[in-house]
Amino acid sequence: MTAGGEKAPFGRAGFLARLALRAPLKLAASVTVMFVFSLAMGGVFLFKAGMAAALAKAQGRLGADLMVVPKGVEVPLHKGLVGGVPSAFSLPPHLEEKISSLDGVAALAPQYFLASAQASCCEKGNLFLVGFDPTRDFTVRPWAKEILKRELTDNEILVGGAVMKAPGAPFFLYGHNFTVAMMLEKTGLGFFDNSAFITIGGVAAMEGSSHQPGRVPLTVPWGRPSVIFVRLMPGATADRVAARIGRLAPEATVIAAPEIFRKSKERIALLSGAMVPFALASWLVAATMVCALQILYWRERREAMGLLQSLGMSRSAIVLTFGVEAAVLAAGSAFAGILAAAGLLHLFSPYITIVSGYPFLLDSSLLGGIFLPALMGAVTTCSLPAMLVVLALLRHEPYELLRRSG
Amino acid sequence: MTRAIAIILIVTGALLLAIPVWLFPVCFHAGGGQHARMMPCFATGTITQWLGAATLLCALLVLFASSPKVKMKTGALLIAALAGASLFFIYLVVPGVCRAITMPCRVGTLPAALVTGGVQALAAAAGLAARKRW
Repeated sequence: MTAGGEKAPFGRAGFLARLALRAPLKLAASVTVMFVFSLAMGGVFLFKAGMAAALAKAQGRLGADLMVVPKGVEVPLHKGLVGGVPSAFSLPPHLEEKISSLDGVAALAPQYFLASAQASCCEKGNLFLVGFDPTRDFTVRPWAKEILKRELTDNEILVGGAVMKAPGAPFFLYGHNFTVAMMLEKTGLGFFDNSAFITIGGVAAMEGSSHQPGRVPLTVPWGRPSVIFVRLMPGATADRVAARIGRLAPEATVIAAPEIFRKSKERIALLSGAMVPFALASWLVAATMVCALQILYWRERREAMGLLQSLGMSRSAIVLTFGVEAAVLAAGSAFAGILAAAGLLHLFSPYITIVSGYPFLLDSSLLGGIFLPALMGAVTTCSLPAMLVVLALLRHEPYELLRRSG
Repeated sequence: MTRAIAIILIVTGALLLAIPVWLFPVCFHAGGGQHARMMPCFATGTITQWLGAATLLCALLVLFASSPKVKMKTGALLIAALAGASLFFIYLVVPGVCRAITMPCRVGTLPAALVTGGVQALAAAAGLAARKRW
């Protein structure tokens, strides 16, 4: 109630907000500490969870037991797989026929790695183009068939989740016009997200169009694919088949599926191991700073406490009111901190996959898993010290609290 | 308070000068060749640098203008806030950056400039809100 007898605007909440704004620097300091702590913790947890989510999705989509690539291409291969950075390399000729004759091999899927031209004859420069055989592929073809319910034509392409082209849109590559049949869902792996998948027939048509006057020519090393994905028969041992392929083609390297993302898995394990001590240490630092700031903050508000007590408000009601205020501030700061962490990770996710080489997928479901524990942690860390400090101050008589000095 | 805001604006202004050329270079400065001058990111990077220079000027005005010159400081903070906010339009709408996801401007320049612009706009807005205390 105001002096004129009217109700104060926004009731008790408005009263508390006006009181809080009387110490803006200390208020800002408390909020900033919680915000920065939530930003740091939220960032670390979301990064780790995003890497694990991307790996799980990518491994499911690759569908291969073995990968046959030329020797010495591990670095560009990793950049191509994780970042979707175009890389061009070729296996020796006639390797497919040799591998298909081996015992234990159930299916082969050769793929040609190409790159779009950085010229006006291509709508997007430096895009990773993957030519696949629609009759044999088991990486993207089943995925597309699941959604489209039909086979792809040679004039259609599949684009990754990060390529900015909608289904049905035209896509001009090397002088040939394709239509986007489907946008694949995001996996956090550049090989799927940053690429365009074209059938072998489409690649041949594109090669033909590229040799017209005024176009950047494209030459495809037919018969020498960049990679051969191998699916094994049930019961076949990956190591044995890999060893046989290695003897057949000494110029090639065979990578088993678990090895493809071994480095990323090791990084996740390292992050997981460091996370608990890091979280504890950060929480200790944040809690110490919050406690110190709460003492300064609530000492500024002792006159308000004295006034409320002298107006008849009970001590428990005052403690509860200011405890709720601290909880609301803490929850708001934590919420903002985690949103900011998610926003920063989302903005920098291409940098994380392409430059840093980590598969990463930020899903809204990851956010849901982190909000509640973060909010509860922030509220507890701020409200408890606040209520303790207020309780300690309320030991004094109202006239002592109302005095400015002492 | 004004000193703190001015220091933040000096940092963001310097970052906006450095990002498109050295820190997270656009395609032309990342070795894209002469034809990269025709890409939208080249114009965007140049505009970013001009906005960075303007921000530095505004920061120096806020820092060194004498106390009675409130209107000058207000104007400088307003310009800095608008410069930071306008980066979102420049990078996301016109001229924008290259659309291919693996291009250096989209991978590095865009997120770095947007984060810097956001911090600059928030800091300048906080300075404007705290004008009564000058």
